[in-house]
Amino acid sequence: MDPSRTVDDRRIWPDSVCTACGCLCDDIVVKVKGDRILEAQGACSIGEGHFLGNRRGDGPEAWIHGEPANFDEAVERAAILLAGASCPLVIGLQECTTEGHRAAVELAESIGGGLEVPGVSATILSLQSVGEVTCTLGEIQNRADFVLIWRADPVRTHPRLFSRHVLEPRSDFLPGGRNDRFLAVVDIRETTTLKEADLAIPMDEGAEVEALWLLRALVKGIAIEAEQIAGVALKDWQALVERFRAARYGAILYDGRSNGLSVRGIHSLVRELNERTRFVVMPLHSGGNGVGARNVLTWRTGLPGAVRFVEGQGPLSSDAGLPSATAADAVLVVSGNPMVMDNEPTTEVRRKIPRVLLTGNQEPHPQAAEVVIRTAAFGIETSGTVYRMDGVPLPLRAVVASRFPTVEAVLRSIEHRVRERRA
Amino acid sequence: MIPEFLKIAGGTVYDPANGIDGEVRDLWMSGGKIVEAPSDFETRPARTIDAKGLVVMPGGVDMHCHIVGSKVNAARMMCPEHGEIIPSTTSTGLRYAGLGYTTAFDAAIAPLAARHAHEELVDTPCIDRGFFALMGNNHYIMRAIRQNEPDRLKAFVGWLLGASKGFAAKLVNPGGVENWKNRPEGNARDLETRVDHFEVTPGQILASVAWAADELRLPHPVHVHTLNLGLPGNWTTTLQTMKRLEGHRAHMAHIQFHSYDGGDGDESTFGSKVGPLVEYLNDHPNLTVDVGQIVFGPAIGMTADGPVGHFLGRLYGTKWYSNDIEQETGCGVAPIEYRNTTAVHAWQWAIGLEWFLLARDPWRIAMSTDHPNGGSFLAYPRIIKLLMDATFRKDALAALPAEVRERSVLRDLDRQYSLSEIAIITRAGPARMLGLTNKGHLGIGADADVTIYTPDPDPEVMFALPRYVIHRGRIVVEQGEIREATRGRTLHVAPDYDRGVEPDLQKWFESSYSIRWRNYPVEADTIGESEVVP
Ligand SMILES: [Zn+2]
Repeated sequence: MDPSRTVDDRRIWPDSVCTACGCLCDDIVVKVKGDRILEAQGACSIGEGHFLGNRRGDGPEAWIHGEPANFDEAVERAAILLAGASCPLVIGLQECTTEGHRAAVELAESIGGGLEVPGVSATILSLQSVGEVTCTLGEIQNRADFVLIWRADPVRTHPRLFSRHVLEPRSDFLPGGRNDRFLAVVDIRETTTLKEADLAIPMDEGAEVEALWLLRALVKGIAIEAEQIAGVALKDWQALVERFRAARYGAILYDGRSNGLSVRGIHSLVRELNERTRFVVMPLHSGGNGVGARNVLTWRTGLPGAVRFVEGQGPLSSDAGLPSATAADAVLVVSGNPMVMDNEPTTEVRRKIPRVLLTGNQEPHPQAAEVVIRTAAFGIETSGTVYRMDGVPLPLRAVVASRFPTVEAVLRSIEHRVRERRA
Repeated sequence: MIPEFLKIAGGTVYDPANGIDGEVRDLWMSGGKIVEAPSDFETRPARTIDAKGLVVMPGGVDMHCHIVGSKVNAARMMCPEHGEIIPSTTSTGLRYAGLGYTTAFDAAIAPLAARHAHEELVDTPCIDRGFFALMGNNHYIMRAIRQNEPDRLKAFVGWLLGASKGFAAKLVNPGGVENWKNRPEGNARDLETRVDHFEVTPGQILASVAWAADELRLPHPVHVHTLNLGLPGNWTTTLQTMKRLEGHRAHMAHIQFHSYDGGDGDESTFGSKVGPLVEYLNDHPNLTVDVGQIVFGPAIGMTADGPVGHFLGRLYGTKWYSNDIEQETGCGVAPIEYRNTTAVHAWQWAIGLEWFLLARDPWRIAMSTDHPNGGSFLAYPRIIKLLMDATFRKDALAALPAEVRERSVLRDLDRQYSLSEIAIITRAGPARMLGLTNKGHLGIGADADVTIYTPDPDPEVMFALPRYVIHRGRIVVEQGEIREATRGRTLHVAPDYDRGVEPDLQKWFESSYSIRWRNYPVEADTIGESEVVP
């Protein structure tokens, strides 16, 4: 359904979803004139950059080896690369909607390749070992009288999180809003968020896991003899634990990019806390739709994070993505930032192999890959379902038309060409 | 255009809804429906399946399972080692088809995550499907009860089902989940427990939503998972719940999990209280049940009953997933292993079978394992064998701990289900309970969902390997092999409700939800091929 209305020469889109950070604020009023976005009312500075930075892409629809190419040539070339590979890998997927994820799964299946959503292995491994006690953002908004921000700086990275969901809102349960809530922040450096804390605990760099173990022990009531742990006086940690105990509905929010040991430590602590009071935990994810990618991949294959399709065997687990990535001899990056992979241990391997890149970036680098195919800009020119960092699904509506195809259309074209080549 | 016909010739038909109990007949279908045999003698079907000597039934209907949505997907992520019980959407659809089932309903979806559930349903092939929308701990409902505004409540239920494109109203531990969100040991132990903040009771929620579902003339009445699931001594709450529902139609879900004797933490007092409960059911035609049979082996506890998830995770010391969903519900997931050497598990197994064998009217008791809570739906053929073969059942009972063997009435029950009764509890009955007039039977105008079995002295073999499965007139399984992954339809309701409620509703919504009112309803283009059930 199209909720937009036209006033004079402007089209006004109410309650639009902003995909600039994991909050997926869905109350943005976007004003459009022709194919230009004039205003993104209600958006934070990051969101404004996302909406207003959008310029209708011009130039070629694709490049091959840095030379302009048309769409069909590029699709053909991508199909040759992928069909000829013995172990192709489809990776990325953070910047498309469910339809794109479905098409990516089908393409990976038909080329017998690997499929991977980068950057989710830490949370998945933690989930698989201890589970997860979480909630939707509205529960924090309405109930959380205690919030701990663990090594994250949402004031900077998720600018509206505090005002919309975590600190300011008043509810039947917390009629005093901010006054009814206690904010604790633990970090290793001075952050903007730390300045807002009722209790700020600056700890030593590299001491995160130790601190989490300590907190678990204190919560369990185990006596600890030490002056200082992780660069923080024991009594400060004890003060934090007192706050845990006093909470009716506590929430811990942490950076979604945290490493595996920390994630597991945080989730174990939260489980422990639920023995005494209600506590929930939520990773703060960055923008895009990585959460959706993880969801769709899981329901379509039964396996989260990374899978490998082997003919005649169906989807197989490919733990943390490593086996498929090291063996890969052709990589298709689907609408994610290819640089995301630079955080992964397999970067070196991937740099050397031929790569097809689908990107909604307005000014893509023609030599970012052997084949670069442009797609509609995610979050601006695309419609479909996106998943917020707490798993809540939201409808994304294109506010501007694109001259480029959607990710799903490109993927289906490639799959079609692969099939034709095989036949 | 001349319509194309598919004919099933000479099969032995079991169609209890139309009073057909093992008669040799021909079936004609066209356009996805069962049709009259063409009057024109010359008309040849495009295809004839020779069903001589084979058993023909309507496609199976699973009225209570958990196969899609955020909690199932969380379970897939958390427990890949149990992928066999919680497979992908594609495998789920194919497995149902392989089992002769053509319709299934997910029993617990939070409306806030309805869009997610629908996206998974679209990706579940071979079956028609839908879901029940959770409302037992919904703040607006509790508010309307407190303010004594039944009409507002009724309108809200209509709006919520329409907005989420759900099929029925589901209550899970009404009031108890809200209390658990408020306090670590919070819950509702009986129908008169006060719900924090809202000043209402579980009994009021039960009665009001049951009334609203009746008033809205929903095809399926209120679907109830009552308080104290899985706890010793919970039978009294179950009986009170059934009594509280007097005067309304209602369905009691996975009744096995709610039929326990015992208490005081003394395991030796655990036992069966099916007797008084089934007697109540037998005497009250307003009520129906599904069993929630357990099978020994791995299972996944998966429920909107948040505190039950916590209880399971603690009890077995396993990983535990929990998700509180604003204004609506909770959600808990934890793996379980049912062992026939554990007395409590053995009791659960026996209690489920006691229900099947003591319920007088097969039309009011449905097959279910509450998949995957009691085990996979793939266990249905085994359960059918336990019902059809008293010797097999008694042998299985003999392997259980002495206290169950000696105290369960199972040892004295010789009843054996007939094929017609099996057809009732696996398709005709659940379809009728759901209010699906086009499902669960083979009369003219019914959806052409048909399963053809090869008779076998071992009912488990017979029901595990259907020879043909036809979904909406298309052959999905042929000679036991999957031939086509048909696209199913999503079945939902679109009740008429008083739209006058919307301004107040929107105001409440915008002040309490973390998303905008406009972004809450699920649009038609999200749900694939669909059908509104009147
Ligand atoms: Zn259930």
